[in-house]
Parts: sequence; C-alpha cells; structure tokens
Amino acid sequence: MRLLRAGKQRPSRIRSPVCPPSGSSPGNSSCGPLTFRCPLSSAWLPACACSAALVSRASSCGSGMEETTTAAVAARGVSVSAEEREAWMEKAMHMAKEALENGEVPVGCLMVYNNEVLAKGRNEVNQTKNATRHAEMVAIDQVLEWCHHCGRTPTEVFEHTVLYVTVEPCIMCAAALRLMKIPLVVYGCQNERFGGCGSVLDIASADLPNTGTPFKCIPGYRAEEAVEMLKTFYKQENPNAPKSKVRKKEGHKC
Amino acid sequence: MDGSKQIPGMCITVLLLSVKCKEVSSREKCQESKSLRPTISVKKMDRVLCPGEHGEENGSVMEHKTIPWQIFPVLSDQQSQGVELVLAYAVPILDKKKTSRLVKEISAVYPLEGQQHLKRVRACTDKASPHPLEMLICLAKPGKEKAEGLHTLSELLPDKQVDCCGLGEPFLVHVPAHPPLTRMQFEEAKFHWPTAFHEDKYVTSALTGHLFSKEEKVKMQTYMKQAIWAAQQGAEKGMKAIGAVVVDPATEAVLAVGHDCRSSSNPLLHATMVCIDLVAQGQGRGTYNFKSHPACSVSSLGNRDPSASKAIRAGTVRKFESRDNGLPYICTGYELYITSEPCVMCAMALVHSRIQRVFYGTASPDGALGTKYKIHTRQDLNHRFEVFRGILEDQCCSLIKDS
Ligand SMILES: [Zn+2]
Ligand SMILES: [Zn+2]
Repeated sequence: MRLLRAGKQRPSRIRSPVCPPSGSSPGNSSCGPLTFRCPLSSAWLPACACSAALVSRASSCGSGMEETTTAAVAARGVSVSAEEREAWMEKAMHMAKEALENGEVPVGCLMVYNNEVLAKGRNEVNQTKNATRHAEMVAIDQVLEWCHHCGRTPTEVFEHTVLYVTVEPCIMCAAALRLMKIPLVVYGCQNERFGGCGSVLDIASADLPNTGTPFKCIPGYRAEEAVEMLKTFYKQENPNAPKSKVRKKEGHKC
Repeated sequence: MDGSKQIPGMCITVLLLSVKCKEVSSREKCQESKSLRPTISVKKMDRVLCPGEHGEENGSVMEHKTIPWQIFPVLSDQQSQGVELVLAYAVPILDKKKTSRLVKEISAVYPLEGQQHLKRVRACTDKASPHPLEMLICLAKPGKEKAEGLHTLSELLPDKQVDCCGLGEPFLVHVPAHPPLTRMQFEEAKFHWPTAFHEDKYVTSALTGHLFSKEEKVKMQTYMKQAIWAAQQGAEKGMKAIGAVVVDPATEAVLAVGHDCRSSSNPLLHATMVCIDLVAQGQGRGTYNFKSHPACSVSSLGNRDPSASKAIRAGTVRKFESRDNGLPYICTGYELYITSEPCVMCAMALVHSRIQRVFYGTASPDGALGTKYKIHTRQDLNHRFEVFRGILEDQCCSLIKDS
C-alpha cells in the first residue's frame, strides 16, 4: 500500500561528484517516491530477483561464504581485507534497507576506490523509463562523472575500484562491469532470474576476449538478510496475491 | 513468485492502473527535470535525411530490384542442433495380424512417457527382411547393455503381461531423443525411427526464407540503410562504426536512430544502449545527452496516436501493455535494426527493455545473439525475442572492416 501512495515527488537527484561514504543518501527523503513496477516485467525491476527463487538459494550462498569471509582478497592488484569488505557491505545493506523503507527495490550498491565511495547507485528504471538503469549502471556513470570532474582517467580508476552490491549483478551489469574492467565484485544474495555471475550465466569469468576483462566475485555476504528484504518487498508487490488487484486500485485513487 | 509464470490478464490490470498513476507524476517530474537536470534533452527529429530513405520508402521503386542479401533466423540451440539419438529396444513382429494387440499390451507396460514423438511400429526398412514390421519396446539404459549384454524378450517383458507370441528377439536401435522442432531435424530424425512432427510453420518459413515478403524486405532494407547511415555518421566523428534504429512495426515509424557513442568518457554507450535511451527520451525521460551527436535522434512520430496506426497486430503483447497514452512499455513490440550483433550487455539490455525483434547485419566476435550466446532464446530469462541476421550483411560487415 505504502508503495503506491502518491507522495510528493522527491526532488530529482543531483549527483554529487563525491558521495560521502556515510550519512544519508541523496535519495533518502522521508516521503516515498511514486514507484510502479510491472511485476511481470523485469524492465521495471533492478538486478534483484524474485523472492521465492532467491530464498531457495540463500542458505547455500551463505555457507559458501565461510571460506572467503576471513581472508583478505586480492584481484588484479586490488586487495581488500575482510574488515573492509564487511564495512562496505554493511553500508550497502543499509542503503538497501533505506530503499525498502522508501518503497523502492531494496538493492544497495557502492563503488569504492582507494577507500573512498565514488558512487552510490540506486535503481532508476522508473524515473528514466530506461530499463537498463540498474543500480550498477547508475553507479558506473557516477564514477565516470567523478573522473570527469577530477580529471582522472576512467580506466585507471575503474581498474582499482571494488563494487559492493547486495544482490548479484544481472547479466547486463556483469558485462558492463567487465567492459569497465572492474577487478572485484562483492555481493550479497544470488540473482536467480538474471544473475550474470553464475546464477543464469557466468559472464564474470566467461571467455569473452572482446568484452573487457573477467572479474572476481565474493558472493554471499549477509545473503539471508538481502533475500529477506527482497522477500518483504515482493510480498508488498506480489501480483499473485489475491489482494493485489484491490491494492492497485487503492493505489490508483492517488 | 516467479513473475514469468503469471497470468497475462492480471498483468494488464496492474499495468493500466500503474500507468494512470504514473502519468500524474510524469508531468511533475518533467518540470523538475527541466530545472534540475539540464543534461536531459529530447531532440525531436525532423526526419533526419538518411540516404537509405530517398525514393526507397515507396516499395514500388524497389520492386524491380532484387534483394541482394539473405535473412537467417537465429534459432535456439535446441532448434538448430542435430538430432540427438538414444538407444532403444525394438523387436520384430513376426505375425502381422497380432500387431494391434501387441501394441496395446506393450504400451501398457512401457508407455514411452516423454517419448511421444516416437511411433511405436515401423515398417521394416530392409525389403529383404523376413518380417514386415518392427516395434519399439522401451528405451535402453545407457551403458548397461554393453556391460550385461542384450536383454532377452522375457527379461524385458517378465510378468506375462504381454503374450509374446508373434514377436522375435529384441535388438537395439537408435531413436531420436527429442521431438523434432524443425523440418530439418524431422528429416534427420525419421531416418532413424519414424517420428511424429508437429511442424511450426512459422519456423519453417523463417528457415526457408519465406517469412518476409518482398515488400517487407524492401522496408527492412530501408531501416538497415538508416542504421548504416548512422554508423557512418558516428565513424566520421571517430566512433565505432555501428548504427541502429528502433522501429515500431505497427506504425512503421522509426522511433530512434543512434550510433555507437562509446568513448573513454563513457565506454558503455554502445549503439543499442544509445537507442534504448533515445526511446526513453521519446517517452519524455531518458538519461543521456546526445546533443554532441546529431545523428542520434528521437522521432516525434513515435508519439503518434496508435489508433491511427494501420496495423495494430491482434494478439501481440503490445496491445495489452500499451499505456493510456498509447505508448508502449519501454521497447515492447518494437524492433531493433543494428549493423552488428549486440554484445552481452546490449543483448541483456534488450531483454530488460522487452524488444520484440532484432535484425542485425553481421555477427560480432563476442556477440550474444547467436555467436557466443543466444540470450534471446533462453527459457530461464523472463523475456524472449526473435533475432534475424543478414540484412545488408556485406555492407554492415565492411563498416567494421573499414573502421
Ligand atoms: Zn543489472
Ligand atoms: Zn554492446
């Protein structure tokens, strides 16, 4: 219900060249945005998958995480300690929670370069009517903007940037991350419907010599929680629920 | 819940209602966009003059010319691969008169579940054979026969459920593992064992090059020429020579023309991504500013009232998913004409955007619509679309070579 309440539109987001690593995101206004999703259409959804499918995998990725959580991980010269990963994923989870509270798809996404957050992406599919505006794509553009602003070479920056995202990037985003030559992606739960890091296709490590470079993945960070948020989100929006029609109609009154 | 398994009717209601609400906000949003997001600009294309268009929009001018290219559907692996065979037990029918009883009894024991494409009885292929008919009993367990030797009839039919009188000794035969999906697979399959074939006439006509009429091909060529033109415009400015157009087949309107805009400042602006954003701009939104690329443009024709369109095809999803103002849901029902096969990112972007058809000129080394992947055919993704290769392939190919 809350999802469809017509609040005032929040101000359009102005991207700050450098997003602070903490504090409220620009999108964290108290009034919920008017968001609409066709439950059938992936176009209106971000990289996150349907709750049911995700739930089934949550436990498995949680256990797979055990080996990697304790050690520092290096990928193409970029090394992140377990503490760092945890701290950034904590922030990403917080973003996802904020999104959920605002009736948005609960996905948190951060791009971190030299311990500095260059981008905080959120799904902008509805606002832009462009189905490719997943949080990761938005974040990539923010980093590009930052590079432009600071006179930095994008390739140099991306090659030392780590993506922290609460849901496995989809096939499109995984290919985009390859093209940007990002070395490392840390994520929460699997994306059973569109996942590009192994769930549907493994674009992250595929042999695609003309599509950037493969990247390393560390999956499973607080996967159950990430799934739980998606589950909550989809429960509110579940089109198969008998109440759905009524809810939509009520929403329409706005 | 898996969204892909939902009832279409449910979706329609949801969509229509969503749309109404959305429109309210879109006006507000647009105003904001103007003041706060100056990067968004929608260029209304005054029909960019493309060489391909001159005098050729009218099919009759082209009528006498031959189409110098062939179009090929890019089918799923299941449709395009050879016939997979499995071993099965068959048995000679020595007494023809007992056939119908034997079929009945053996079918009760071995119903050949999941193998409904296999006919139970075949006429003997060898004319010199002493028995006229052979009958399928069951699939063999792979590997087992080699280790343990062939099963005898009494081993296969142990419990006297079948009166084996009139049957010879069983033998192994290769049979097609799956129902044939194309005529070619059928021809191959029935060579091994008689196979039922429910022909998909659409697929057959696509494979034999009869799906599109001459007039349609002329139109398709015009669109591809516009894509080639865009590619050349981009290449002149140092971009990768790839161009694309988005067409609404119902109105025959070109909604967007774009070329590859990738550069160090945005390496992801592939022609497909450019076109998807241009379509969004045509619907009043979008993300990027293509001002510095005048060949990338949105057509105002796309905003035409669809009731004026000549041919809204019955039964297409577009009809149901269209907004109140008649605009389709992102790229639903639209076609993309692109000079080169899209990469993984672009192919998945087209899935997310719900494109209906993609026509590409020439294959790409890491292409995801036929070369490395067939993302458009995957049953595990929630949207599939048709893909065809080959319109003006030579020209599209030399675009890449020359650049
Ligand atoms: Zn994505
Ligand atoms: Zn691409």
